[in-house]
Amino acid sequence: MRRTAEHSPLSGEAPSPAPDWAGALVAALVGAAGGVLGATLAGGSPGAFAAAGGLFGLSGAAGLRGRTENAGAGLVWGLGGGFLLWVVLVSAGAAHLSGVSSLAMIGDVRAHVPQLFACVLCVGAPVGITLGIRGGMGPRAAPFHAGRALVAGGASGFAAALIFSRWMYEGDFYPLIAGLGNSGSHATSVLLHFAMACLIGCTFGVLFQSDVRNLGSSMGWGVAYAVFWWLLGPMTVFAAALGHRPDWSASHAAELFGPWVGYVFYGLILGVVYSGVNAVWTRLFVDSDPLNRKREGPGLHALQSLGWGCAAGLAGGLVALPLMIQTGVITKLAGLEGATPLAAGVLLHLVASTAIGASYGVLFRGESTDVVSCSLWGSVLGLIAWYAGPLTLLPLVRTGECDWRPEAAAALLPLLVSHLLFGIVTANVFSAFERSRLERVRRIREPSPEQTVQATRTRPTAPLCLFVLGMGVLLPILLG
Amino acid sequence: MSITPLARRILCGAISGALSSYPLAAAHALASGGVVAGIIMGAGFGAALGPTKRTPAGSVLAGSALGLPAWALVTCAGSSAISGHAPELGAEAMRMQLPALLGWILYGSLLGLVAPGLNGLAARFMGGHHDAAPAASASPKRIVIVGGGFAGMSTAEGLEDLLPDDGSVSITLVSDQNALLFTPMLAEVAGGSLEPGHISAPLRTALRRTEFVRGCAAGVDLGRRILTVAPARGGPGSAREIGFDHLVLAVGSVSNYFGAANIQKHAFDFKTLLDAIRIRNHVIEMFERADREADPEVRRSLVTFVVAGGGFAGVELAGALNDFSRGILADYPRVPEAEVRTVLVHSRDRILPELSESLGRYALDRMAARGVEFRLNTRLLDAEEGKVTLSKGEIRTQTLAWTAGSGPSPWLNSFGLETDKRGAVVVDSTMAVTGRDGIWALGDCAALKDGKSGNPCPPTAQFALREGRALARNISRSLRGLPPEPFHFDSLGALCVVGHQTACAEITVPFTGGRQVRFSGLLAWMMWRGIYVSKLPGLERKIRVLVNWTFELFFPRDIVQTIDLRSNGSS
Repeated sequence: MRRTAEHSPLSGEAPSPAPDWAGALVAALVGAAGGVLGATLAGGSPGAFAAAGGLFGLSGAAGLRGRTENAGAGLVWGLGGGFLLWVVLVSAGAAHLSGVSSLAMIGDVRAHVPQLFACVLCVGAPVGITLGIRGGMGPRAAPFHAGRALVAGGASGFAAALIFSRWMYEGDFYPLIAGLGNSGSHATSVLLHFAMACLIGCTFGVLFQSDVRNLGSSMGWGVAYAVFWWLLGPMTVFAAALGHRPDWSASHAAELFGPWVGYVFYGLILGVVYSGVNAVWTRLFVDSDPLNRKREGPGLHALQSLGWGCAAGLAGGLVALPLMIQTGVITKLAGLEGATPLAAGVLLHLVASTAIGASYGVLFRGESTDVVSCSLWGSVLGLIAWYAGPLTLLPLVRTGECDWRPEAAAALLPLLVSHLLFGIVTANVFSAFERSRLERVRRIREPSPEQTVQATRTRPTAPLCLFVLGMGVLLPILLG
Repeated sequence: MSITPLARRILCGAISGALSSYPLAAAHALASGGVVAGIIMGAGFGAALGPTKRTPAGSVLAGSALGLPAWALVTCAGSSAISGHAPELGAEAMRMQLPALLGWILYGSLLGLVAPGLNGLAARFMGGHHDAAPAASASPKRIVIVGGGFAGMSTAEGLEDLLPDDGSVSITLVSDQNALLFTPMLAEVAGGSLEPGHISAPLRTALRRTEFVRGCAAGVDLGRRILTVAPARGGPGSAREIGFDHLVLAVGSVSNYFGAANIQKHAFDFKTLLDAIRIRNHVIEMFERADREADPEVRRSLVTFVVAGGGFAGVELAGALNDFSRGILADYPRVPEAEVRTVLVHSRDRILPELSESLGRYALDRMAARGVEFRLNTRLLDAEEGKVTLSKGEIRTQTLAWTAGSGPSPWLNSFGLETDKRGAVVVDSTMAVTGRDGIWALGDCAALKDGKSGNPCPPTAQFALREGRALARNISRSLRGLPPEPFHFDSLGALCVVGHQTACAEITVPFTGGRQVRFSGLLAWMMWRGIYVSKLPGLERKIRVLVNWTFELFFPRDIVQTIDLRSNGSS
């Protein structure tokens, strides 16, 4: 029996290890090289980009203090850090923040979209992976099960790709291989689509096995990884495979906005399926071991979380209601033009809020114990609900078709505000319920070894949320 | 300089917010007051940081990520509202706020960098780095509860909720059973509807910070304030002494045979889970023997089941046994249905004296229609092997279950407390034992009178639960030097199952001055199940019972014998 009780699962992090100067140097070199490559592909001064990349590598190594324990965690740190690096670079000149009109500002930032991709792909990701591999050489690395990662990841990737089967057959729409051009026959496209899905799924399992905890956070990981693949695949590698120079311009990104939403949904499902398979595996072969049994079974926790999630979702729905009414979507929700569309819409909104809250309870339980992290997860929930609700399900129900154009997404931006508010309130109310329970049972809480290992590790929640929220919010604004 | 950790974090957050607010001000994230917004958000961020430590990179990125929803909520939705206008939530208006979005992300990253650093510096120079641990009292107050029934359990739960968990108070519960028995469903166990374990909640699981001691309370030294606990059921081991400042007596009641030794020897008790299990197994054993018995007279005596007592317990047991015995007949084809009898003997002219006369009559009619025989105005005089003697005749039977009398545990008379004629400890309306400081009694073992009406409180689970909660409040008040409060509770009503999907209910309507509504039949039965399953301790138990009840709709009751009756002294 493995008992890793070195830290309380509720308290946070381990003591800081000693500085890793060699790792910092390697990260700086990788960052500088990535900067040069990024400047070459996106345009810009190689010297300045190399300096920014080198500084990014150094500050990343210093700021992370060796806490990245594997390549997957490092990649997520790198994606979030790369996004922030771009924000800093694009805002570096005071002219970008003052003295110009907002319209001019949007145009200017659109012109810098290639640098965003360069920061994320050429600087952030390689530096993060380098730091992750370096950190994984330390003694605190979590156990890794390659078979489980590949089987669960591959199966999840395949299952997630099935969501597009209707569009593949009816509309010849293959979001995962968008940008590859006409690959020939229908069968070849399907084969490539599923091969791509399995590749993403397998690597997802390998990279994130030790970071994926619950269904909800796994969704976040899935979305972040899928967005990374959208940048890497359709925006970059596919073009290179066809012998073209990658086109990272905003206009090209706008052309691939439909596949972007497709990738987001693929990532969501990949994360959920992978985490589900992983959870079943853990439940059957780890938690079921009498040596690991807890006083309260997992079923009780799930039911409790369901109830708390309903209450939290209702609270979130009530708080977000005024904004929803303000945007006028409430009446569209009901889909009625009768005498009482508002009342019906409010009722439907509250029912949907309660249901989403219940799903939050089941998906995100045990994820966050402080206001900052649960506000972050709540924001991610709000963003996901925005993509899934107004952007996808609402038009699907009303017209029978999804509208994944950037213009449509931009037009729905006002709803994003109420969804973010809903997510934050729901997450914090749920967390309050959870904390009260943890307070009551803190003296007897005995997580299973697997959970203890996972809970005591530092997970890159903040960079993940920054990357997902940043890309999820910024792209509809810039490309719409 | 003394400052609480929370105040320090808020202060540092506010200062950090001010220092980080340049991007907000430059980006015109708010029409005016970017610095003010920065300070307010910084204070909130500082408060939210809590004791969780993050790496510098984690903190920077967390702040940056929070900048995105802050942009949406503060700039897009909030600023107009603050300035008195309706929020501008148009898509184009939001796109025009792109500079503010970048401003918020930069502000968040700076805040995430500065706030933890400033907080760390402040903690170093101003002290109070950690939230102060509550100071534990040098000599904690010791509260010892004797009895793990409804009264004892609810007292412990109430104390856990009310008293601080800082080591200043210790709570100990002593019981000879390691589980709380949900007695209202005991008849369903005897009748084979429910699995025995499903109506019991383990005390160790249900109680979070109460020390549980399994054992029998053997003696109390009121002078030294010591409780002696002997091993449960005379098992091996030595006695243990437990000191107390407050002693709660909640030992419940035991069957009272009024000195009839023969009846006591031959009858089954119906108080504990083991009693219910024994009865069920005994009934199955009788059918097994009857199935191979050729003599009709002997066979008839084997499948005749006598229940003494027409109160709630007796009626529910008789109804359950009648349903069980007739339900398993299909498995015993050599036992004629006409020979199966369930007889209820009651000394009064009507059953269920706790309910109204009409409901009592209804129950009798319904049970008689289902095959239960009644001997009213009849007393049970004696019992011997194969026969019970009544004041009006006799019945040949191998099975007698006793529910006709119960009284407080005789153990209470052993250490000099004043008791009433039933043997219950005399207490005042606050449940304090008269003249004994720090000694309390409640539940079936206490002669408690309602603080408002002056009426005796009945020995039911409904009252025991409320008494436990009230006593926990009184002990808590006592520890704080406040006077205890008298107990008052108006009964919510009563429910009794009389057979398959049939029950009687008398429910007090709230706010009507005690007016009661009567139900019977299927509605009352559904109400009985709904109310009692909701009262069953623990979600897991509720689910198990619901599953049992659902299975019962589709599958016959189990006739597997689970204990060896030759070794446990059955009649």
